[in-house]
Amino acid sequence: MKSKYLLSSLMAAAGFLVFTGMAKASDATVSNSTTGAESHNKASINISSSNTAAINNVANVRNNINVCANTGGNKANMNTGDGSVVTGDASATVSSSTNVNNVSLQGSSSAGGFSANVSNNTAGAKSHNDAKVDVDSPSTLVLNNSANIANNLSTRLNTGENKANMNTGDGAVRSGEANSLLRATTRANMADIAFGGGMSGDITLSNMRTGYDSDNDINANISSGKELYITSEAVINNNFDANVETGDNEASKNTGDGSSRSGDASATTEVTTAVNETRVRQRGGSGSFDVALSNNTTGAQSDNYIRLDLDSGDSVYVDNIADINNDIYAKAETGDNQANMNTGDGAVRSGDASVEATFSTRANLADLNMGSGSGDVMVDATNSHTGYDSDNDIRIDLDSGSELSINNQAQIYNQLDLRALTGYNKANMNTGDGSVVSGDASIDGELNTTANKTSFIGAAMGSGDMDVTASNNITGAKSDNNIKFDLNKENEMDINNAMDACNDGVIVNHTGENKAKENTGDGGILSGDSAVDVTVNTSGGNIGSGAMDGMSSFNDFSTSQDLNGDGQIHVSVDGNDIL
Amino acid sequence: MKNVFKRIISLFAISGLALFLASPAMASTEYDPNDSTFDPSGTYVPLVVTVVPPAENQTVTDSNGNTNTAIEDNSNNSAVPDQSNSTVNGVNTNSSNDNSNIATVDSTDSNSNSTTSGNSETGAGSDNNTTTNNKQNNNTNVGNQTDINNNADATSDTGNNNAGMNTGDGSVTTGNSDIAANIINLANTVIDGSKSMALPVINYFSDLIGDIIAGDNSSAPVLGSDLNLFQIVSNFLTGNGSDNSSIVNNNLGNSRITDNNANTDNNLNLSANSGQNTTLMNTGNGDVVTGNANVAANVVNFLNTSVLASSWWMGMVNVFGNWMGNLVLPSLTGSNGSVTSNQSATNGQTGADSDNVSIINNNNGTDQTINNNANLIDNVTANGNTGDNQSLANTGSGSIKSGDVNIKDNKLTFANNTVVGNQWWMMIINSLHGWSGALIGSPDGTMQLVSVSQLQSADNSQTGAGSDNFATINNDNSSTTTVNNTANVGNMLELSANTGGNKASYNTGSGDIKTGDANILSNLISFANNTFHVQNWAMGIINVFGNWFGDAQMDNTALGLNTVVTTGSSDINVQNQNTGAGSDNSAAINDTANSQLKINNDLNIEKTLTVNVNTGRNKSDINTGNSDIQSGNIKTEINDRAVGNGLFLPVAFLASDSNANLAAKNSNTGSDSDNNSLINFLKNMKIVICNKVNMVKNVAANLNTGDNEADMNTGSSSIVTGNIDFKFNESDKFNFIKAVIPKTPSNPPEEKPEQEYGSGGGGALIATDLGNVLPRAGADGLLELALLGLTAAGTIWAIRRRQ
Repeated sequence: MKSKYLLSSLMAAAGFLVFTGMAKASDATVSNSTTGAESHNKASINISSSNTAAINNVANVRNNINVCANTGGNKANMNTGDGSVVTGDASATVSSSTNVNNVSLQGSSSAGGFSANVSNNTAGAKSHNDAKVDVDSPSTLVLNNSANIANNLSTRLNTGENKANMNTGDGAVRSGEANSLLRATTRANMADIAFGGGMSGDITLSNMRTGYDSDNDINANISSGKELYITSEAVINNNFDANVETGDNEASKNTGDGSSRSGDASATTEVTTAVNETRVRQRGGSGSFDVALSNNTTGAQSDNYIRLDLDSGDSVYVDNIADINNDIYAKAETGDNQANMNTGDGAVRSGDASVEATFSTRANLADLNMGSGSGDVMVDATNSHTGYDSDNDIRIDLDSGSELSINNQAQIYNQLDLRALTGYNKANMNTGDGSVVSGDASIDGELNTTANKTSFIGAAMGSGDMDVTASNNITGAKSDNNIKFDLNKENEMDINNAMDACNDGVIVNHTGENKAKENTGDGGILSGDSAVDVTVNTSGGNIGSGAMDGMSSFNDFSTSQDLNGDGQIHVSVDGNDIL
Repeated sequence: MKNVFKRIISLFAISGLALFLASPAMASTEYDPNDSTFDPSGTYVPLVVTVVPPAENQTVTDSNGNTNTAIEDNSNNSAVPDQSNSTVNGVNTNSSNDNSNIATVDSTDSNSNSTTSGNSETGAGSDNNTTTNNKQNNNTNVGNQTDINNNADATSDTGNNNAGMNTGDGSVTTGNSDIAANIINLANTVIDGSKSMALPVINYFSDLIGDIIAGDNSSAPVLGSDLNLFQIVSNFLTGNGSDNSSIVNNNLGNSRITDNNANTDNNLNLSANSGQNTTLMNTGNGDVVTGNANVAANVVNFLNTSVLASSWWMGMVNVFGNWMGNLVLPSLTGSNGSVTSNQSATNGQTGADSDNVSIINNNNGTDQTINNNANLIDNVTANGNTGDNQSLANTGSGSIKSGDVNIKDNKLTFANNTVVGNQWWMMIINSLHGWSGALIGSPDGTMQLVSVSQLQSADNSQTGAGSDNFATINNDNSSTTTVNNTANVGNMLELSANTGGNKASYNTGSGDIKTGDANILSNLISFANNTFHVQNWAMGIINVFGNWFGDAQMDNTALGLNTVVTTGSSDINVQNQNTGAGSDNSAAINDTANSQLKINNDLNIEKTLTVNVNTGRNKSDINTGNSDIQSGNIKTEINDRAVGNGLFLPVAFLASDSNANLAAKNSNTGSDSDNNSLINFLKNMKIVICNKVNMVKNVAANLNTGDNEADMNTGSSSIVTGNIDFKFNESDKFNFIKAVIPKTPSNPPEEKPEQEYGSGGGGALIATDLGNVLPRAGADGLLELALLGLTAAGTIWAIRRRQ
């Protein structure tokens, strides 16, 4: 009982470890040999090894972060002595990282190997011999990603709004620094798929030394296509509201000096969004086949038939929809301070205000690397030494079309309202001097948007050389010898990009509108520097292809006939090649 | 078998935690719930310790004493300096429904299953039948329903003192007020495997000096014994006109159904107060000095964990104090075995006109369904106040100095994750006040190869004239595993620390107020609905709520938890050879191993965090002397991590390294004979994954050190407000699937992993995925997450003191 349990456990574990249908290398041998007279012989192998993965990811995420920090709003008024207010710094850092719908499926680097040897050999008179091999090894991946993410981040920082008024002594207000950092990083709908190279193999199909009046059939069907369907839909909303205030202080109507000094204020926002990135890699080469088919030394009045169907097309369908809205309001204000009507001097000094906004948006990126292999096919078909009045048929159908379809749809709206304010200060009607010094105001914005970018590298989409040799050679009297070869190699690549990007900004930078008037002493105003630097880079609808090595294919057909009976060789090539 | 399981289940159920704790290795540090020696500050006393013994399929509710209320009140002390400290320390440990199905395997034996069934040299005209029915079905059904309600309402108060209207001075000095609440919920852990080490859950409610030996390796089984299966079925030298039948039916299916349903509600209302004191209308001075108020809440939920593994070790260690000593992890010795399966069905030298049938039917395989449904609601409200003080209308000066408020909130949610693979290990170490130690001897990630080889042949050879011969092997691999996890977790934490709200007014002398600091620490860790289907597995969670001076020691050479790559080969031969004239010969092998993995994850998370902190709103008005206000600093740090709906699959997705050699042949067939050779080789893999996550996170923080008033004083006035430092870090990861090829020496990765995609070996993968999820901890904020070890199979993490 113990061993049974262990067996089942190990087998269960092994079942997951051998995570595939198609083995790395498969050898199939199917033969009817030395069959008796009037015997019926059937030998067949069916290999089915499909991989199917259906993945649905749905993510709805809402982050609502609301921070209010206040060190201001203090009052030191109407004291007989001095009134002094010094406020502390306020700092808020909000960092949100969301990573959803991330799929990475890594295939082995080695291609599936396959070798088939199918034969009817030395068949008895009037015997019926069937040899058959069917290989069905499709891989299908259906991946649906849906992400709906909202980041609502809000900070209100205040160190200002202080008052030191109407003191008998001096009135002094000094507000602390206020720094806000809002950061949201969103990654959604990432697919990284790597699969092994196409199946390669040697296929030998032969009817050989068939008996008088015997029927000899060989059928080989090999199908190994891969289908990838990746659909990604992302709706991302980033709403930032940063309101940073150190100003609005007042030191007025003091018997002594009045001094109002505000701290520096900074509002920084960083939005990084990357959605709908698809990466497909084919490792190793595409499938190469070496095929030999022959009816050789067939019996009189025998029927000899060989048929090969080889289907190895790949299809990749990528649909990306991205809807991204960034709505950012950031204000840093150090101004609007007052030192008025003091008996002594009135002095106002506002701190620096800086606003930084950085956006990095990437949406609908497809990076396809379909390998560098050539996928050559070599076919050698021969009817030779056919018997009197025998029918000898060889038929080959080769279908290797590939389909690549990429649809990208992106809507990106960036709405900005950035304000850095250090002005609007007043030092009026002081008995002494009145002075206003406003701080520097700077706004630095950077928007980088990349959408609908497709890069394609590789040659696996049905390229590869074809080398076909067909011959009817030394055929019997009254024999019918036919070789038919149909190649269908149709490649399609469709890429559709639609992008709607809108950047809408309100930028306000202000260090002026200060007043120092009606002072008994001097009135002086020194306003700070104002700098605005906004960079917008938008890139969309780019299709790049890297190394296109091996994208041309070379087809070489040679035929020869040496006939006594009726013979026909038919070769048709249908389809188009990329480039 | 069932009885053995039951007995082991009962053993675990009855002895529960004590089973491990009483082991000889623990003798020097035996757990004693009555031991109250933990006293780092000289004041901590564990007031409530509740351990619910685990029981099979038992429902544990709050009727088992999980409602803890402890109130101490030192209020209404008049005119007497009060320096006593108040401490409430509550611990709830709930452990229920820990079911372990354990089949132990002798550590040295190889396991062979041989069947030889045959009819040979049968007489003419005889009927010969051999039938072997080998039915080996393991059906495991586990249903767990657990409801846990923890309600803790604790108040610690050293404040509310009044020293007023004294002719002399009025003075109030309060002591510190501390509350610590620890809750551990462990429910619905199902371990289903053939071999095991231990499931230690170790709780120390005190300081600990000494090593913890987490598992005894003296009786450790060898991991992965070889397994050989030989089955030979033959009819040989059968008589003329005889009927010969040899049939072996193997049914090796396994059915595991696990239903886990856990409802957990943790409601904590913790309030610590040292403030709200008054010294009013004293002829002398009025002074208030308050102590600190500290609130700490630790909640660990470990729910609905299913482990399907051959060999496993899982442990959780909680030390609610300081620990000086080492954690010695078990040595899992041995290497992984191989699986060999040889099967042959043969009809050889059959008699003329005889009927010969050889059949082998196998039925074993995998079909996994995992349904996870997790609903988590976390509500944490942290209120810290040192402000709202008044020093008004004193004849002397008025002075207020409010203390600092520090809040730290750590959350980790790990839900609906599935780990499939051969080897996996993870160690999570939380040492909340620092770790001076290291992980020693982590596995190096060396690869081991597991060989799975299969040889099958069905033969009709030298069949008699006019005979009917059937040789058939049918392998239909199917076994089912279903895991249904439903977890509803509600954590409601209301944490308040107050040292403010004091009044020192209308005194003839000066009015001085100095408040203590308010500190709040909360750690909320939820593991729910996690499934591990692996061959060898180890997982450890170590929580030390104080300082840890010691190492985590693993045995590198013996642990054996290395990534394994499976190689294998299948040789299948079907043949009709030298068949008789006019005979019917059929040789067939049907090998079907269709695997299916279905995962449905539904994750709903609602997190609400409200932080209200005030050190301001102080008033020092209309004093005859000077007026000074100094408000304290505010420091808040919130770390919030969630990892959900993840699938780790450290294997190749679209190819494997196994070989198949298939041959179907008819050779030398007799005249007028019918010969059929058939191989059906069906290996189909299907993965269906539906991940759904809904998360809403609401964080509201109101932080204030301002809004102070110092007006209309006869002297000068000064206000200095404290700084505010608010940090919020969240990193959430949902709906991720990783299937990667393990790195092997012979199979190095073709491409260098790119950071952007985080691909690469399994170790790097897990590091990437788990590396960002652990909270930083520690009340002083000096700790950091550190990666201690990284292998291809797993990683180890620690939280340690920043350099």
